[in-house]
Order: sequence, then structure tokens, then C-alpha cells
Amino acid sequence: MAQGRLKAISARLDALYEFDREPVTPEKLQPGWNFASLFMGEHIAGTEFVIGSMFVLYGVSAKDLILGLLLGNLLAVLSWTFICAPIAVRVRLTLYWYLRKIGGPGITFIYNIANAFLYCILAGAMISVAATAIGLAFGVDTPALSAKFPTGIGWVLITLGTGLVVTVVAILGFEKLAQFSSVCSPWLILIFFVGAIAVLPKIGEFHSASDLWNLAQSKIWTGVPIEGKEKLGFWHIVFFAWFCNLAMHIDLSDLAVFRYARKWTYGFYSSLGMFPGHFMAWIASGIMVAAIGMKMSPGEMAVNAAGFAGAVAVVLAGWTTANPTLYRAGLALQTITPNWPRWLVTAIIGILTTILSMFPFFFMRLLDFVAIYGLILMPIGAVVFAEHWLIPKLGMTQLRAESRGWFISFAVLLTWAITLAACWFMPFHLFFRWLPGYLIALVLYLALAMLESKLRPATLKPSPLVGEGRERG
Amino acid sequence: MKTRTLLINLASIIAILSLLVSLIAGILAFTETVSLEQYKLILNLASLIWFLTSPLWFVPQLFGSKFSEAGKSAWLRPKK
Repeated sequence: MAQGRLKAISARLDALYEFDREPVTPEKLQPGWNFASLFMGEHIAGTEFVIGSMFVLYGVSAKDLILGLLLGNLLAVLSWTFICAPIAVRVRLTLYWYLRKIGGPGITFIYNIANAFLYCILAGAMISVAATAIGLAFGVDTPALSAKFPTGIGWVLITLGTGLVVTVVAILGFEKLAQFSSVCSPWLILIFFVGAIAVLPKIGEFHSASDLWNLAQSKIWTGVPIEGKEKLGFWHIVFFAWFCNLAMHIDLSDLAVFRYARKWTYGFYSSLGMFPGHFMAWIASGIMVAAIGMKMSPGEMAVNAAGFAGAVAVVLAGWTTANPTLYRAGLALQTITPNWPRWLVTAIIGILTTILSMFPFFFMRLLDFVAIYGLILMPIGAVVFAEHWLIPKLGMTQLRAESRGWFISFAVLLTWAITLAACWFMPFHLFFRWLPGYLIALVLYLALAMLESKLRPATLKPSPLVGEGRERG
Repeated sequence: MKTRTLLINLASIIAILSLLVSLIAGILAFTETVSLEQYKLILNLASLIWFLTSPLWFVPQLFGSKFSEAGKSAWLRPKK
């Protein structure tokens, strides 16, 4: 009975992703310019206002920040280029379909639910960021950095209003807004840049480049955290910049993007997103928060640095990124809501996200949430990497869940669960846990896959939902 | 050249100019050649112009199928 219900759920899940079932054909491959513009537009969001400011408040020094961001972003670009893109151009499938062949439909179902919940939190944080700007117009203060719960009726009403508008627009015109968001990207990058340079003279006097560097060290990235916050150093910044998009590169969700690439070297185009978005914009928001006396309020920061245009930038940066996030969460959750219309699923996701956005905890702890987001999905990236590159080297056949008709691969499930449990108990900072976790997941999966391959026979007949496998060398 | 294509070309030029004006305003504020208030006023106006013109350049399909078609022969076509 339960098995039958699970199969019905997986059938619905497959139907949602039906369009992407087949590998991308050669005539659909895209030129490099498309990847450049995609990355340039994708990595400037409302959350950049928060992340860059957090680095200042957590006492990062100027030297640690610059060098850490350079190295961390470089590692992120290399992860896209050498881990994600090579697999994508070989299989030319989305992570959903490739994972389905590796772990069975049961794994893709669990993965989608986990992803949907994480998307809701992320979209909630973006709505909170947008609300800090809208709140200014109504005299509603941004909650304090330590706040966990809604701080007053004003904040509740502002987040509620913002969340509802975002939800209604996502229901009525997701595609139109997605198109409109492409207009925002070049302008947003510019607002970050000009906003930061314009307020620099307010922070302190400078007459030369060395004065400017001294100002950065003494007034912005002083190396001293605010009270109650731990100090972040060089390696924290390196790891943060690296794992900030872990879900996309190491965890391989950007297989969906790079399956259209002509060559794996297109992974280098990710640098066009990383360095404006996760280098320049984070530095810019650090300058902006210093200009308002180290108060974590994206709205106030942006208005101080860029006037009304700044407030619009915060709202649009939050809105245009919350919109597709709501869409993806809705898509994932549609699988457990049989026969519900799309608008109803989006409405429910929107309400959940709006409720989450009322809690300042999520955006005030954004650094930790970003780390947890990447960490939770990381074992799946390791499993796919091991299955793709290492399993053939051990003389095993690939894609056993598909060829043997398993509903769920226990090797994948156990690797996921045990790796996360191991990461939970690791005795070091949250930011550093994913890397040893990834290595644990690789080794564990190889061992469990070997065991499962020997002990577990094929089911009587492969699931009719399983797509055609590709011959792989 | 058809009128719609001409409009899209014109919109793209004005949009690029508005970004340049924003950038120059920021640099002038950085060098304290203009006050922060003057810089914000210029930035607001340039941003308004950007949002009035760039949709026609970036997403002509928002304005109907004729603009969508005209966009294909514009100078600076957004790549899909």
C-alpha cells in the first residue's frame, strides 16, 4: 500500500520534470555568451546586502576579506568548471534525472522535499530583506541583530504585506516577473558599486590609495566583531565564498545549466557571476553598513547609499530572487499534493514562506543557513560524483537503481544520512564541515554501493517510469 | 528600418547612457565634487530612465509579438 503510494508520488514527480527527461541534443547546445549572461544576472540578490554586512559585524579584517574572497570565489569557479560542468556535458541530464538513475525515484522524492523546505527559508530571508526597505517608508525599524522572533506588529504587517504581494505576483505572472528580473541585474550591480563608493567619504577622510586602505582597516573591516558575535577569519571567508553556492556546483544542481554547454570549460563563465556578485557586492555592502554605524538594516544601508533608488534596489533584489525560489519550491511540493492546481500550491508555499519571513532569525543567521543549505544537499553531490567517475574504476556497473528497477538505493540513502550525522558531530566550525563530510560521503558511498550491488538483486521488473539509460563507458 | 526596431535601438542607447550617468554620479560623489544629495537625485533620475527604457531592449516580448519580432533585428539583441 505504502509502496504503491510512493510509486504514485514518484510518477507525479516525473510528470513535472517530463520536459527534461531526455539528454540535451547537439542542436540545442548554447553558445558561451548565454552562460556569461546567465551567471552575471544570477548572483546579485537581496541577500548580498546581508552577507557583506555580516562580514563587517563578525570582525573580518580587510586583508582577510579581500584575500579570502579571492581564493574562495576562485575555488567556487573551479568547482563549477572541474566538478559540475564535466559531468553535465557527458550526461546532458538534469540532476533530477541523473540522480533518479543512481538512487531511484525514492531518493529524488526525498531530495525534492528537502530542497523545497530549504528554498522556502531562503525565499523567506529574501522577503525579510525587502521588508527592511519597505518598513522605512512606514517608520518600522528592522529587528535587532539578535532578534529571533517577530519584534512587533509593524514588522509582522510589513513582512506579511511583502510576502503576500510576492506570492500573488508569483501566482499571476511568474514568467513576466522572471523576464523583468533580467532588466534588474545590470542596474543592481551598478547600485551596489556606486552606492559603496559614494558613501566612502562619509566614513572617513582619504587622499590616496593607501589612505583608503587604512580607512578600510580602521573604520570598516576592523577585525573586531561586535559584542556577542564570534570573529571570522581568512579561512572562514574562503570557505563561505566557496560553499555559498555549494548546492549549485559541488552538489551539482547546475547540471541543469551546463547540460546545454558545448564544452566543460564553460564552467569558467561562472567567474562572471562570482566576482561582481560575491566579491564586489559583498565588499560594497560592507562599506554601506559601516556608513550607517554598523546597523544591520539592508533598507537603511541602501537608502543612505543610494537614496530612493537604493530602497528600490533592496526590494527588487529580494523580490526577483524570491520569485523563482517560490516557483521551484512549488514545483517540488506539487508532488505530494495530487490534483491540486498550480496556483494553490504556490499560494500555500507563499504563505509558509511569508510566515518564515516574519522571523528575523532566518535572515539574521543567514551565514549559518547558507552553510546548512549546502551541507544538507552535499552528500548527494558526492554520490553522483562517485557514481560517475569512481564506480567504473572499481569495475562496477553504473546506474544500478535504474538497471535493476530499485525504487530506492539504500547505499545512497545511508550515505546521505550517515554523512549528515557525522557532520553534525564534527568538532569544528559549521563552515568547515562540508569538506570532510564530502570525503566521508565519497568513501562511504563506494563501500555501500559495492555491498548493495552484491547483496541486492534486481526487482522482478524495472519500474516502467525509468527512462532509457545511456550506454556509458 | 522599421519603427519598432528603431525604438528598441533608441531604448538600448538611452538605457546604456543612464547606467553611465549613474556611474559618473557615483564617481563624482566619491571625489566629493557633488554632494551626496545631488548624487542621489541624479541616481534616482537615471534609474527611472533605466527602468523606462531597458525592458524594451532586454525583454521586447513583454510589449507584444510585434516588438518581440522587431527585437530580433535590433543592434544589441539580448541573447537567448
